[in-house]
Amino acid sequence: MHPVQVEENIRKIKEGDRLLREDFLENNKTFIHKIACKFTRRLLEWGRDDELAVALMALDEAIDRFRADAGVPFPAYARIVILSRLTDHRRRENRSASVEVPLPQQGDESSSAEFSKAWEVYLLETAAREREEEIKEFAELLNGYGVSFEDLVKCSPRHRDTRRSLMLAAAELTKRENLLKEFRVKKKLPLMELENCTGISRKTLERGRKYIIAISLLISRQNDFLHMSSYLRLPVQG
Amino acid sequence: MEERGIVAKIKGKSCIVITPDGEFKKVPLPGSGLTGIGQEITFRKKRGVPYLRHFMVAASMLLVFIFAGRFYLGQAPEASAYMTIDINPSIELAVASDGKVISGSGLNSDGRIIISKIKVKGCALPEAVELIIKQAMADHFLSSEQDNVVLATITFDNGEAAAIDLESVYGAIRESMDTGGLDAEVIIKPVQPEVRQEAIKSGVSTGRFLLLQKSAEKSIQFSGELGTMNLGEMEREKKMSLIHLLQDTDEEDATGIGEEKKNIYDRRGIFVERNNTGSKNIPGADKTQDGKDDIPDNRKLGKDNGKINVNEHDLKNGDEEKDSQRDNSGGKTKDKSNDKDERSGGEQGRNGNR
Repeated sequence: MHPVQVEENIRKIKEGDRLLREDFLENNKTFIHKIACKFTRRLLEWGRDDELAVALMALDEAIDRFRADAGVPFPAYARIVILSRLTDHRRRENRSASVEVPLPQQGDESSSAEFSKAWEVYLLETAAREREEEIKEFAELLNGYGVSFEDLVKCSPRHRDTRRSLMLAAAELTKRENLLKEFRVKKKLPLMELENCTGISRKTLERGRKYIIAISLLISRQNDFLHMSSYLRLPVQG
Repeated sequence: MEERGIVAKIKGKSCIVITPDGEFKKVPLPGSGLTGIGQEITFRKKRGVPYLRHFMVAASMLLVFIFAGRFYLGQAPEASAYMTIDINPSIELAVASDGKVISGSGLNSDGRIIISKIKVKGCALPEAVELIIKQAMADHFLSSEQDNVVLATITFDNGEAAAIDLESVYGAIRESMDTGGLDAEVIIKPVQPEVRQEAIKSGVSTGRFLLLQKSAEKSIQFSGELGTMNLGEMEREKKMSLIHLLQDTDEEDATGIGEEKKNIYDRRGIFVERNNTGSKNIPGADKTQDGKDDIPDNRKLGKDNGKINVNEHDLKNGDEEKDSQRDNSGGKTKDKSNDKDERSGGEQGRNGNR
């Protein structure tokens, strides 16, 4: 689910592209699967577990409800919706919750302005909390590679083109399984290989080493850093 | 230009943000409201030259160096000697080793007035002295109505005798006095650098400080401020000659006039009394001086011949004058005539040496 492509696709789907909607749901099954597994804390299987069906429906719902101007990227938005639905589902299953807190159903949004307002607040609060957690997690992850935000301030290239090429290098790194693996194990960039496959000079790579580390981590773990990776205009992958 | 970014880290009053362009930036924390990590903020993009601050620092350093350099160059010939001149105005001249005046400064208010009216920088020392005397005359610090005293001290910074000869300074003073039709007691005395330091500390000119010292030795009390008093008035008040005060302090100068002329000359300076001792002060002073038994002969010598001093050089144009003065003073007292003989003997000796 690449942020830039996603938003474009969502727009098209909303305009009534049925086929694309099918495609989109199909393509994002892994995304749904991950979220649902994390939520239930067990390995789910398509066709066996209800949670996956609930999550898939939630994603479909998220497409319709998504508004680009809300300030929350679609993947993060979808995740919030999916998690809400899964919560609802669990309550129904357990019958422990006496009061349901359902999302306003499609179509009857107009019936309760108050409800949709509350949902909006909830959404933004959740998104903000998630973002904060994400950044903290990202900082910790970077720390493992010996990189801090201060370092990134110092070495992030001033020039947009330079940043772009470093981002491309990072994308290149994440695309190659073997390089990514090497990078994760050694916690060191395979600069030589990167130089060969991107054509960016060694000097530039060397200088932006920490920046490349940060961006590759962000790309390779996009699904964990939904907010951040959506916020950054990362180069199109693949 | 406004920019947006997600706050990644907050540190004091600034925070690190991640912009949508993928740049990590350190920006000041927005003052309004509580900003937390993960929040999106807007901030102002820095304008202008990114390295403006560095440029400014470099430029200001450069300026400092330029000015300092200039100042330094101006002072490049370092002062090797200082001359102070006290009339009532006190003036100090810093003199380079080549005899040129580097700077002049007034040590009291009158001195500052005088120095502000003339330009001594770059002049040869005698010229500068002449200028000062002339200006002092113009401002009536020296006039025929009063007892004029010109007290000059000279301090050689490193102890070496620089290219300044007291004689030419004396000549300059004398000349300008003559053209103004005035006469004065002229004292030119070399002093030790330490004395000058002390004087600077106490805030008076070296000459005045010297007076203070000597008078303290002799337990003479000066009423009023030594720093501001007119020397002529002072003399009158105390009924004494400053020459005596200053002259009789060196101990080992009694002998060797002929042989070690140069040395003594350097050490002792030039002491010239007023020609027209119109007031009775000076003779009076003489008397007190003469009364003292322990004074070496040659000192008295210096005093009683109106214009001459023991260890003074032959003032080239002054021979005739001297003679006449000798005649004048010859009859004053008995012992003085004796002294005269002795003195002329000494002079002969000197001539013989030459």
